[in-house]
Amino acid sequence: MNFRNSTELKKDAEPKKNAIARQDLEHKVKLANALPITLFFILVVIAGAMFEKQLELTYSNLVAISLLPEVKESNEEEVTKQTFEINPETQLAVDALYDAIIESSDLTIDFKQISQLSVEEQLVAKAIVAKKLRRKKHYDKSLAIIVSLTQQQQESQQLVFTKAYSLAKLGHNSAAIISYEHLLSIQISHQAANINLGLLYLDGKYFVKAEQVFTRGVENTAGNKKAKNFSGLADALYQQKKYQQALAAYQKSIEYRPAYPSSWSNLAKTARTLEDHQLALDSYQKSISLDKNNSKIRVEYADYLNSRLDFKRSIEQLKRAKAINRENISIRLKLSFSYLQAGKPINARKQLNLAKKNIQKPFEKRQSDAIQKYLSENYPEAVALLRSNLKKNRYNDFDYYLLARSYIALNKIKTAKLYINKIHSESLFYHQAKYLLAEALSAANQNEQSILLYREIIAKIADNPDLLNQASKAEQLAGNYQESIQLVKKALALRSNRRLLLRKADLIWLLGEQDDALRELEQLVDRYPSYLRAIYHLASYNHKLGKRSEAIEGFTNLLEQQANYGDAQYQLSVIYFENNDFTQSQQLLKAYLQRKPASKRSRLLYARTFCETGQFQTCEEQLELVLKFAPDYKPAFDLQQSLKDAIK
Amino acid sequence: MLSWVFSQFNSEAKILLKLFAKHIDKLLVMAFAFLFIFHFESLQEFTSKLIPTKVYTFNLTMSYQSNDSDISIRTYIPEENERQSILSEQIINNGLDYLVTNDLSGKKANWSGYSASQQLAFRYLLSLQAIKYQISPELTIPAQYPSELSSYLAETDAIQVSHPEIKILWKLIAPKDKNNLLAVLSAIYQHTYQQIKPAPFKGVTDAVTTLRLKTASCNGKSRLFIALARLNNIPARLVGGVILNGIDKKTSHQWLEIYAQNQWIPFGPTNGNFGQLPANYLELYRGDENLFRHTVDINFDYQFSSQQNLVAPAVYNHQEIGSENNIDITGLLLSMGLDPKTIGLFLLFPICTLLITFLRNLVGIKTFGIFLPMLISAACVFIGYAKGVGGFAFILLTSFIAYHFLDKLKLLKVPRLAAIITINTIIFVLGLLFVGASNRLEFGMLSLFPVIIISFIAEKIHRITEEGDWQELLNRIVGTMISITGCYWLLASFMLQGLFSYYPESFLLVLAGQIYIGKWTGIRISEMFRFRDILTNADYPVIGINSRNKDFIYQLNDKGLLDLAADKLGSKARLKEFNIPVPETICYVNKLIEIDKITPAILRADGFALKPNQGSQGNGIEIITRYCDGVFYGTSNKEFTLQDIKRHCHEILAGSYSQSGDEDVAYFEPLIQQSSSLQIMSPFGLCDIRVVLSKGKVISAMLRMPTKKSSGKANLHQGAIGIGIDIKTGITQTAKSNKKNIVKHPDSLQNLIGFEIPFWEKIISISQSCQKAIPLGYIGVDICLDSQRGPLVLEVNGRPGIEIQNIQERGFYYELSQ
Repeated sequence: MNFRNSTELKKDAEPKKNAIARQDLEHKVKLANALPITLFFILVVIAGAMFEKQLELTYSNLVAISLLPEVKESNEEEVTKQTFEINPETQLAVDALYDAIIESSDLTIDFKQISQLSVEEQLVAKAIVAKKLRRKKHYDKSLAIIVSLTQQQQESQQLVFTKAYSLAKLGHNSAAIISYEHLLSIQISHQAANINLGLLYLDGKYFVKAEQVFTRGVENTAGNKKAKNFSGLADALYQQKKYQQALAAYQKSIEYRPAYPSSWSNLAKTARTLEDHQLALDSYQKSISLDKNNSKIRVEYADYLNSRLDFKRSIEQLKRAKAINRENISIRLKLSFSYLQAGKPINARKQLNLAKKNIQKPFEKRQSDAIQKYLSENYPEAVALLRSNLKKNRYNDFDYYLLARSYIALNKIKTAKLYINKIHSESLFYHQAKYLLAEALSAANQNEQSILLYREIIAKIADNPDLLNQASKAEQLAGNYQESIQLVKKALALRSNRRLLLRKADLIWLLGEQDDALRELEQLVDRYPSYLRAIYHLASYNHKLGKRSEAIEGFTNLLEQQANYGDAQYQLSVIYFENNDFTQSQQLLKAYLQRKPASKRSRLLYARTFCETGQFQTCEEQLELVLKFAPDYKPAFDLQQSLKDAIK
Repeated sequence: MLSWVFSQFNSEAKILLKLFAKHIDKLLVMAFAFLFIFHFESLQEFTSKLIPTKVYTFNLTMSYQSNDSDISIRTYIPEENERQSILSEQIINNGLDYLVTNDLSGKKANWSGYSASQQLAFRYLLSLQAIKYQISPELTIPAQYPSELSSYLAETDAIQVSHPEIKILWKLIAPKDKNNLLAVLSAIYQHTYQQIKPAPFKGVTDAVTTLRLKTASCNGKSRLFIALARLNNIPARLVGGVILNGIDKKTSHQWLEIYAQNQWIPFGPTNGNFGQLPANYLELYRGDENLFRHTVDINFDYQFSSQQNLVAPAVYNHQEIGSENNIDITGLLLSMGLDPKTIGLFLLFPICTLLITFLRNLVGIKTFGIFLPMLISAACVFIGYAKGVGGFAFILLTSFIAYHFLDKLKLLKVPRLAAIITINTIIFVLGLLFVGASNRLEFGMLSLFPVIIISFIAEKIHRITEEGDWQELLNRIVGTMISITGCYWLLASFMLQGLFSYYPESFLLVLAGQIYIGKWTGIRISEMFRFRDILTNADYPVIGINSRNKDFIYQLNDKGLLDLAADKLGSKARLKEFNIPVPETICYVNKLIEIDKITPAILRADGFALKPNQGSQGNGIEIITRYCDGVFYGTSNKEFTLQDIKRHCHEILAGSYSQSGDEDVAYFEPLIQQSSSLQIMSPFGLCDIRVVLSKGKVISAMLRMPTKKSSGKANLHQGAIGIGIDIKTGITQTAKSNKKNIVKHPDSLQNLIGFEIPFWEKIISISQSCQKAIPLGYIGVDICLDSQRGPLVLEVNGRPGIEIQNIQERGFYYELSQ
């Protein structure tokens, strides 16, 4: 039996304790190192990623070369070309056959020139000749050869297109359509056939079919042909009143063929319909820039500008169109009318007279006669003529418009309105007519109605400064100063000119912002030192505000530039009178009365100056003169009474 | 054999070998360090080797339709020059004749022949350089040039040099010194770049049209520039090509070059390039040419695609490496004809495996398949990360759906798997058409294998979803995604490609890392979270999976005995020899041909359990509680026919539930009537007691109690309750359900704490006897309590889990170690 003492037991216990302690430590170490290792790994990954990023940034493959003044030799390579050959025997036979057909006056062909060739070669020869005839525009003869072949032969020799093309050229559109359809059924990606078919459908007003054909064509074509397909598609869509889609298609057509003027003008036309005026204007301008000598586009553009009440630019375009196409009567008539609308009757008359020399068409003759009557201010005859024209041609917006003008000139606004209401809202004359009516109503002090009309027009045409200015005047007359000034500001944003600036200043004055108004006028006068009207207004407002010295300065400046400007002398004399400078006042009034002897207020003031300086007799004489011209002029009468009382 | 070899060494050698084995990771690191120092010259040199190079892939696909007639398609292809290098070229002719010609305008490729509708393509791998010219302000415009340049001064239909409007424009924009080259070019450039607005015109725009419209696309601006240049006696020509910006497109691009000092200097008035050209401008032709010419009416269509990547120059410009690198792995692989991309993958596979090892063993991430993420990420390198992951997810989903559908058809395992693989292969082949990989062959080779593996994974996913373990599914999906992403990031790293190519000793470092992690037995990050409630208890340190495996299972458990433990029937037989009570075996079947023999046996039995011999975690067990009128009723009254029972046997025999996946044996045991004391507490299934022993000593024990939620199964992760038992007293101390403490059973509402396990001492004794019968050093014994026979050993487990520590609310590292 082994006994162990406590010491030995303790000793035994110690290694065991140490083992446990060591295990404990080991396990704790093991327990701990999952996180550190993971963190270490993550740090390594992050460092690696950063290092890689740095390497990526370091990457640069730019080669920089300095070009310095040195001379070196260089070598170029040569180009090689390929040519094609054809069978000479067949070529001879083809030429002979072609010549024989050309010389023949009828469509009977016996093909003896190619009889020596094999069947296969004969077929090829016929095909070549048929195609050549088509190219040379002998469509009937080309067709005569083709119809002598079977359908299979036509297909094998690729004559179906030639056949369809010739048929279309000869006016057999239905047959041409059938041929093109057949060709496309066997060769769906035949680009030319697709386009021609689409055009035939367009001509025949089968717009839905045309749309389908061109849509298919768009998918199977590239480059110019794709542009054509888009253009045809757009035309078909336009005719179906799918204007938005038509617009997109025209734009695509332009993408592929940007140098084609018609695409731009068609785009403009569509934009007009959609009332996208900026796009319409840009497109017309681009179209014209590409084809400056196209009078048709210019006229179309001019019509559009007229409809937008932009008569000045319209006249520019018509003048250029006329320069390109001097024989065109219609252009002259339009130009004449545009001058009329722009308020230039002399120019209008001149163009009309030139046009009338060469008018042949009855319609143009009727139009020119009506314009002439109007320009001669022979309004009743103009009305009679236009009404008689309308009997022959009921829905003629031009006649309605000119009738309205005539009635307005005869002061029959209600009747004018009747004819204006007959004009189509899409007509080129629509806005012009409304504008005319608005002006007439404004002139007749029917301000409320005219304002409504102006607002209606401005809602559609917001970029015409003259229109805005007119509308502003109407608002002003109606006492709507805020609205009026807003319109003037809009007009100024489009076209800054001194008249508009002066109106703006006046309106600010009317709104009661007198200091602002003065400031505006001062700026205007600084900018346009010779703008007499502005100087007058400024001096006048200064006077009203009691700033007499500034007013005197202003009027003096004005009179130095133009001594007989309006009633500036009178106004200045009033100021001098108020300043008790009667001598100056007298002098000015004297000069003024020499120009305007009947001006009662001036003469009255003149009389008062004499009274003030004790020259009562002269004063009495002047008063007598005033009362002679205006016996009921109370201020003169009162002054005379006062004078008499004073003398007594 | 190895042992025999080892035994031949003398003792010193053995000690050395042991030392070597113990510190091999450190030795590898030292070897790496030694070789690296030998290899390393300077930090600058090291860095310069790793600086990437940018390569561009440029693809053009063309399609056409012809009615079986002769067609001809011509286009320009890239050619080498001072800024363009062709690294690889691939042309697809599809049976047409292919001819390449060179002329002044460029290198033309022509396909011609008799053909029906087809596709043609070419693919290039290019290295491009940016170039910038500094034009000296002293240079003047020469008065004369060699005659070869006359065409570059001439007027053409689209370049109207002598048009009055061009001349007027020049008058407006000309500089003071009209003889100074830089001044003239600057004036022209300023106008064409800034005054002419860009427009998306696709058609040709001549110089005058551009001038008039004041807007044009690249060809219009270039033509106007050229017209003005030629007007000033500066030779100029159009250049056409493609901007490689990674977008699939149909638009080419045009710029121009002017001739000065015997050089052609590029200008791009569209994108603001003055005397310079960016790297991604690929030149294809020179002159006013069409990029394509083809037979008419063939519905010709085309598309460009490009990609740019930063890559290791070692792999792509191999000839630059020279003889510095003594171990030329890259050269060897290139000489085998492998694609550079594939070579990059091979170089980096080892570090991917290190990453996966780290993620699994240190972080504790679970994935579908151990190295499957690596293969998926390799596929992603070819087709892009998004496409690769998307494709993987798609194939996984189709596999899952296919599995579900085929399962409904009650197909057996092998044919079912074969069908899923077939479906996946078809989808994969179809997917190749859409993938657009630059190298379909190698992509296909790399990716087909993982596609097949995914077919197997579908089965696992199906099992997980059947068990309703959605958390597990989510964990695996997230883990797989993290692994794929991490591997993809590594495989795409040009720096690592360069590092392993130039410094192949780095592989030693990788190997060292793998060995180190292999020896590491600490607590995983996921375990730190899993055992967070008990980790801080220093008196009872927790054992993790790594430690369990390396320190205990590998050390204490003989492989043969582990196999015996996995063999339920075998282990039952052994336990019987030691008079340890086990459930009877009604019958068993190990061949399909014998399956009918089960019929009489199971018809006689009043309830039975059908089990797979090599199963685990209760998978594949079917409990039949009664038989009535030709119908077998399972738990929750689920109905089975005899055919269903036989079909399940088929599945078991095919290895569907086997731990190894091999063929298995199906056996039947009588239904155990649970002891009444436990039955009252847990009426919805058979409870079992898990006793964990180490070297004969009972370490820990828990009672696993099924619930309605766990569908009558005693699996903790499926909702069963784990109840910690005091091993000394057999009294229950703690109860947890889904990691939460509970006191009462959720279904029976019986108290779970303070309950004494019946026959506790017998249970302990039986457990210890089991360890003697099957002498595994670390063993888990599962015991149930039969109402008639008392404790019965259900099975022994050679790899008992460690979750029992959470149930007991303390670790048992010390108990195991002693």
